[in-house]
Amino acid sequence: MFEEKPQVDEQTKDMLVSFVQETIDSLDAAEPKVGELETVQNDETVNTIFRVFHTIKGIAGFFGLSKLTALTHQAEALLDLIRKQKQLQSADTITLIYDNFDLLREIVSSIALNFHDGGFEDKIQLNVERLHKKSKELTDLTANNDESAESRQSIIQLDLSMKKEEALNEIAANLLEQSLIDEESIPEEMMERFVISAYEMVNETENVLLEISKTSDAGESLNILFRNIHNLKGNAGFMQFSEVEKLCMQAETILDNLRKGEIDLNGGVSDFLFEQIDEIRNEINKAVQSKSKKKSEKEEQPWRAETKYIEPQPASIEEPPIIEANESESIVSKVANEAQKSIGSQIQRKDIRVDTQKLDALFDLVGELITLETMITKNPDLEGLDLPSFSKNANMLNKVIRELQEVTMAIRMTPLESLFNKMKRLVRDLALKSKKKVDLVIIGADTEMDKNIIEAISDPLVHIIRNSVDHGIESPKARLSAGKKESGTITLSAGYQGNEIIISILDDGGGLNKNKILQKARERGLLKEAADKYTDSEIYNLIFEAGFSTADKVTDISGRGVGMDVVRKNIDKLHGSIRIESVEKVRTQFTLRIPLTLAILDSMMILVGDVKYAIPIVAIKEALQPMASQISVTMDGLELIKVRDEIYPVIRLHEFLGKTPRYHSLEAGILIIIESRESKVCFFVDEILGQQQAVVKGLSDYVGKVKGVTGCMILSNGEVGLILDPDLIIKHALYDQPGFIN
Amino acid sequence: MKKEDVSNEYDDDYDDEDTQKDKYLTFRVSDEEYGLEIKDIIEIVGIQKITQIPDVAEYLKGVINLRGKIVPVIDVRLRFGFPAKEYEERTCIVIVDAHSTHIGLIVDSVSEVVIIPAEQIDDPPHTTKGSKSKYIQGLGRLGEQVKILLNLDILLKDEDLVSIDSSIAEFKE
Repeated sequence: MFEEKPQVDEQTKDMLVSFVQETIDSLDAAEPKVGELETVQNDETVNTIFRVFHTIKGIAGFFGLSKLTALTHQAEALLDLIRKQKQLQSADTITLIYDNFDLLREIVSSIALNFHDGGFEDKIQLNVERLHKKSKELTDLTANNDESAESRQSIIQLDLSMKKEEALNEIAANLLEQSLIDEESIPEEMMERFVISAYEMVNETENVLLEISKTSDAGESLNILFRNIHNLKGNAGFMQFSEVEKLCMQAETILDNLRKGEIDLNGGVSDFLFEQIDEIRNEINKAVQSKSKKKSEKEEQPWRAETKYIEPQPASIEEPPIIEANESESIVSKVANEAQKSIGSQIQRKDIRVDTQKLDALFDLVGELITLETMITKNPDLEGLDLPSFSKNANMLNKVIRELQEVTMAIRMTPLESLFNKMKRLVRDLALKSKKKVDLVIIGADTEMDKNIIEAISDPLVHIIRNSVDHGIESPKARLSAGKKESGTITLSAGYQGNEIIISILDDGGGLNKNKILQKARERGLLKEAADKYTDSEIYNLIFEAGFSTADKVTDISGRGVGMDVVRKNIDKLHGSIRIESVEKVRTQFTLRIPLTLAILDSMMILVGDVKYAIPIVAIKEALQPMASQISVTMDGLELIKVRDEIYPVIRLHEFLGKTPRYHSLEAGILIIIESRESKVCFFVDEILGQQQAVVKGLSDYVGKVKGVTGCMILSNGEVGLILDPDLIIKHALYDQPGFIN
Repeated sequence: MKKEDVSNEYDDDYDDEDTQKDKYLTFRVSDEEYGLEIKDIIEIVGIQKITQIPDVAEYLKGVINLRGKIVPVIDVRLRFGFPAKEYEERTCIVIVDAHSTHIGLIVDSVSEVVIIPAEQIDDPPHTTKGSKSKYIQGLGRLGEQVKILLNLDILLKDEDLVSIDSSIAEFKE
């Protein structure tokens, strides 16, 4: 095994980085399975998790990351026990596995930066001990496994210099012992082990043989060879690979003679041994193939994945294959072939990794293309011209560009699955902590969203779910006495609606207590009007106030609001909206509406004076031309407009923007009813120009944030149009003081 | 005079520091000649439609679309506290690169690119009179003439802007 080297060459660094990425991917993929151990007894689930640890172990071994190897080895041992037990696992065990996932993530992340696995000795030691203890518990549980338990307890302590040979022999010994006791033991698993160890042994034997053929004194090396071949013979015999067994026996005889000094390595003896090893390898290959064929007929999935194990193995021999290059080319090519073969048998990946920066650049370019297209096809120079052929081609261009835009957007879209899977874990942990029973139902995990947005909604989702478990779902006792099922249900669902994604978090808990919220709000001085003036949704929205109800949350029945202001802030940043519905004692539902992408905004173009502005369509409820009878003016000069049963204050955008309007009288212009969060107002504008997709661009950093403006876009005439932020305009125009809204 | 596009020269990768050394782009603002180091200049474009931004300093005229890039523009006249002058054909926008941010400077007209060796540059006048002399980096002697060489960073950095910026940022939070 090569030792940790302070200096890591570039190639190894690259390999390490991709190892880290793959490890994190596989941890992410397997994590949701961990929770299942508690509820469903499924061999495949256990296998999946086992494989994760096993693969990490194998590759870590190759890189000489001994601490990582030690940890995963222990974890693997535990999973192995679980696999044999075929029982549902306790919450305790699950937590332990989760913890190991976390630790592994931590370690590999650090590897990506530092290229070694140091710095986690304490944590690893702790986890190894925990795993060891757990393994012991499990073995104690399984009575008929008593004998094999002993062998398994030969736990690898953090003896970082542990020899691989020992580990191999241990595996081999385990394998034999276990099989003797447990005749019915799962053949595929043993097969897997056999194949791995067989390849390792063959490769190692080959290496040692190469070494001794160069030196005359070969005492200890011969012993190693002999032992390897002997082990292999035993295993092969057990696995009923008679050909392999026969070959090993022949090799053993020669080696034994060599050892006794009856013959020496000259005179073609070493050549014969090499041939013998090649033969053995071939036989193993054949045997594996025939077995796996049989297997795959029965059960295709496990084997396809298992063949994958073979791949790292040629690499995990004592020395990297490259060194052999000058010794014997045939071996190199054989190793390469072998690697090739095993790679070929892997599932072909259809995806490639792309730097997100490249994606962003592509996205920007498409944005510019869209802008340019409008600039050309709606060019003012063309006005009034009759250009049938041009229009036809322009339409085609438009179609292709839209398609391009969709495809580009699709590239950045990833399913919500990974995010939702994290929530599974969260719910489980929270439920354990708060001693509640909570089922999480997930609907629409395949809904796809822009990756950036998924990242941005992760926090809000965590906060909402934490609140649902903490404050929403009642304790099992309370639930039972309320005539509900003992375990609460949180339903997390996602789906599309128009250009938006709707994510809803529904719990069947105690609901929001309006009176409590009002009382709290009054204490905090948040109420501006009499309590009965507030609509339900206005009351619920109080929980989004910063710091609302973070205090005495334990006694507060449903004092949600821990981190809720964060939720609203994040959703606002995404130009999304959030709504709460609740029925006291029955349920609470949070509904998030989020635009599919941040970069392209559906907007309504308006005219104020002679300047075009864009308002996000999401904020607009309707537009109308008022009649004089609908208008009233307060003593402060605030204009109010009554539309059906609602009264809206009017904000004259020309005043806000400092423009000279075309119309001064409200009846002459257009009123746009804006529903932003819970504030409802009217914007007075000169004209509505129609809808347009805006490619949102930031105002320059130099300008910084501008009152009432979220960004800008390029208009069809090439000028820059400002995109207005209704929320900010309302804040400034109506309240004229920071921080007040609602 | 014709607009002079120095951008190609600048963008050229083979163009090393040496060829830019001591070179200044001179331009006219209200009867006086000013200069900026060539290395900061990206290109010069004619005056075009500027989109105003509400509630910012008066001299920050707004933003323009420069081939898909949003570039804020500053009216140098107003920056210097001179009276505004209507834009006309000769009015130019000098696009400068200030720490990777592109910013446009509106000037009355662009004159030429001149070479002023360091030994011909005098220190700015020592005076506490007036607040605008802080923009001066040096005084370049060129034959009979004097070009006022500007310090781009100080010209662009704005106390007012910063304060507006942060107050809004505060507001938003």
